[in-house]
Amino acid sequence: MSEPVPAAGITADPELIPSGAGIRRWVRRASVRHATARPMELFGDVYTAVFGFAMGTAMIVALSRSAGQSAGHGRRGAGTSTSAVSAAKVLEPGWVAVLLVAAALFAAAGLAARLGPISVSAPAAKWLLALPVDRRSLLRPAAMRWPALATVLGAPCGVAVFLALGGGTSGRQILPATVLGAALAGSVILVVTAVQPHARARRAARATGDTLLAAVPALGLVLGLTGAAPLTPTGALGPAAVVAAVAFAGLALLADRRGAHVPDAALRAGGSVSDEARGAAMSLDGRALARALGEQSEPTERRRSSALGWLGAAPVQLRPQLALVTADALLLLRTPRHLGQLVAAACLPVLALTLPGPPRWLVVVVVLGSALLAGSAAAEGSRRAQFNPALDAALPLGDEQVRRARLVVPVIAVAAWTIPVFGAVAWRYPGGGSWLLLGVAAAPAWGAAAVRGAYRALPNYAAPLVATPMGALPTGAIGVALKGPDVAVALAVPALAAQAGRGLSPLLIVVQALLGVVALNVVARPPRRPTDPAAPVAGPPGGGAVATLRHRGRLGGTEGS
Amino acid sequence: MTKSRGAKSQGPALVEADGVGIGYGHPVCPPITFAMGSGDVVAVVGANGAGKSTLLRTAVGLLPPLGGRLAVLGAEPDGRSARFRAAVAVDLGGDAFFPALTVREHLMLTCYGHGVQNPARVVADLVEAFGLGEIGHTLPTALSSGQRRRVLLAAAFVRPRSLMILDEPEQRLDAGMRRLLAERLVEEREGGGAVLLATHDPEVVRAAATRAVVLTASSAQVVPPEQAAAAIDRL
Repeated sequence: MSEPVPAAGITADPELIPSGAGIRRWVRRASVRHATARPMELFGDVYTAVFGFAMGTAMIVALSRSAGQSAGHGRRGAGTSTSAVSAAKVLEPGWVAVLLVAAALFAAAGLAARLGPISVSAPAAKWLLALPVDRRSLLRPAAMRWPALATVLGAPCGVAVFLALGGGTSGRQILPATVLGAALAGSVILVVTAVQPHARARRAARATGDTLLAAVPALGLVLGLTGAAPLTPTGALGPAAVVAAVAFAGLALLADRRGAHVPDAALRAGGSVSDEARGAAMSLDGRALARALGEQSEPTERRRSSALGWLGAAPVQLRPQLALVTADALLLLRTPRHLGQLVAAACLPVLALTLPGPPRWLVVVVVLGSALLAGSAAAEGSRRAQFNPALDAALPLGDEQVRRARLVVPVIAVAAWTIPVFGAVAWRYPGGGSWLLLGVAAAPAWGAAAVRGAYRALPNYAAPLVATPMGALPTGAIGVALKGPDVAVALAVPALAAQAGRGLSPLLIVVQALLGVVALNVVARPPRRPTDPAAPVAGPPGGGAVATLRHRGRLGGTEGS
Repeated sequence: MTKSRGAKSQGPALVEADGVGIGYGHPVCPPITFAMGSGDVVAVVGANGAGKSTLLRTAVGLLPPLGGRLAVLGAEPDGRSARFRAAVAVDLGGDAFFPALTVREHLMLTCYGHGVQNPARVVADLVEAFGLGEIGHTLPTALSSGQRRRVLLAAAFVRPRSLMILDEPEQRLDAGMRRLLAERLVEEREGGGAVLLATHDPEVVRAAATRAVVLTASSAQVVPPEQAAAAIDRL
């Protein structure tokens, strides 16, 4: 390869090219000179982070220890209960801890694969990647960021699982669990880091993380229904921790070496996704967060296109509505992560019901959260339309007709979701088939809640920001975020109350069905047009007339309902 | 400020603007007066920021007029009504695609949704005309900006319409596709359709427009197409 020809008057000495670490130091020193944050502010941020981590760790450890002790008592008292339900198979608390930590780990792996894990900001991509500096030392902090975070968070998770499985609390017993948890978590993320240079392997890592995450509730279900014996800590924990630590060290070296080979485009793409996701998270905008993290994971080509022949067979008057329903249904069926989300949403409440003696409030919370998760999986079409109103304007339907059509797929999906969930409720509590009827009656309310949440307006960024411990939030962000859950709670009170132990009756089912109809009608109504009765009357046109602000339509995009 | 109207169009007016003020709270140009009906192609031209897109957004009801009277299809513009959506094909330049649908499926869905007869043949004709054959099974999100523009234009032509409102449809199109666009607009005009478009392309104006509205900070004039094309060349 020939040497680059220097521009006239400019010569360069390769000996003067700094290392990647050197250029990073230079940028950092220059940035600090212009920084406006005071040292005490930085101290405050660090203190908040450390204190929050310590408090969280203490709470998790205490809960795990309590779970481990109660599991021990439960085993000692096994066989004395005469209740049919308590004699049935249940999921041990130790397994719950293992499954929760596994789910967190798989979610972290999938997230890391989406964000990079090695990524650079837009300014770094533009100015630093083009420099002829050593790429490995330039990207080392970016390469180690995610593994370091996973290692730090994995340590208390390892302790939590150990205690939940009934392990002792002495230092000699806890240390191997700490090392094993940290090394395992860090190793998983290091594997994702090491495969990042290869696009296909990176996609496989993301898909594997997502698939394993979706499988966790199903696995928990299997463990609970089969009454699998709980794990107990053994003497092999020490050697396992050593092996994990060695593997961690080896993977760290491999990831450090491989990091230099990640293509520039992948680094930039990861950085852009990270920026978008961070902005969405700080604004409590779940839709933008899902868009940022989901955009790149869908396949972009199909072997063939559907002829949509069933639309041709439908009555002409219904074709516009059915076309919209078709678009939403195809979106759900062609997006594996949404189908996985539906399955997970069905497994979670069933899993909660297999816990030994679950408190009723926990069942209500899990069922409600899972209903929102299931509805959300089927309401992606509405979310995309809120982001881009031209989608709703593409067919000859008015806004209310569009909303009614958008309700179909989420309501049907949630109705299907209620079958296994309320079937499990019927298994757990007296009431039999009435629970299934109640679930189906509540499906319209929860499906409507998903569409309401999808169409909610963005927070008002033009208004003053509100300072919170999490950072500045736009005014009304919480209120906006509650649109959707508000209907899910308020118009499903009978279903929730019945699960909370208030009893089940035919009247309750009828009331729930009526509330479901109310929910559908409330959500189908498009926003009112804004009016300004105080606007001045317009003068004659063309001659210095006073501008009239008589609103006859929306300003810009869609307003939330 | 002088205003002139072009030759009378056929049939009832599809768009009637009488001293319409446009802007985001403050007028961006003087009030606009023009009318168009079937067989009209009215090009809105002007420098960046003159108000071309603002006029189109007002015509589809996304913005309220700041004064005067504006009627589309004989009524206040209401882009949310089924009647408006059935009669007016709108493309304001934004990327809007149904997730998970391929290019062909987008066009088929639009056909079925608008009750088009023989949708398979209509879609096949437009796929060939707009050069979408090789990307027919691809999701639009994977296409280049120029390819996506072609898909959006095809979607505007695949459905029945009395009026088309297009914002700089020639953007990101190569020379060949721009010629095709001009031909399509001429066919639209001669077939009794009507088009209101904002454009920077003098060739599109010369080939297809029946008259033009030239917007500047101090005037909003209706002029013959050749004069408007010359105005674009001078920008």
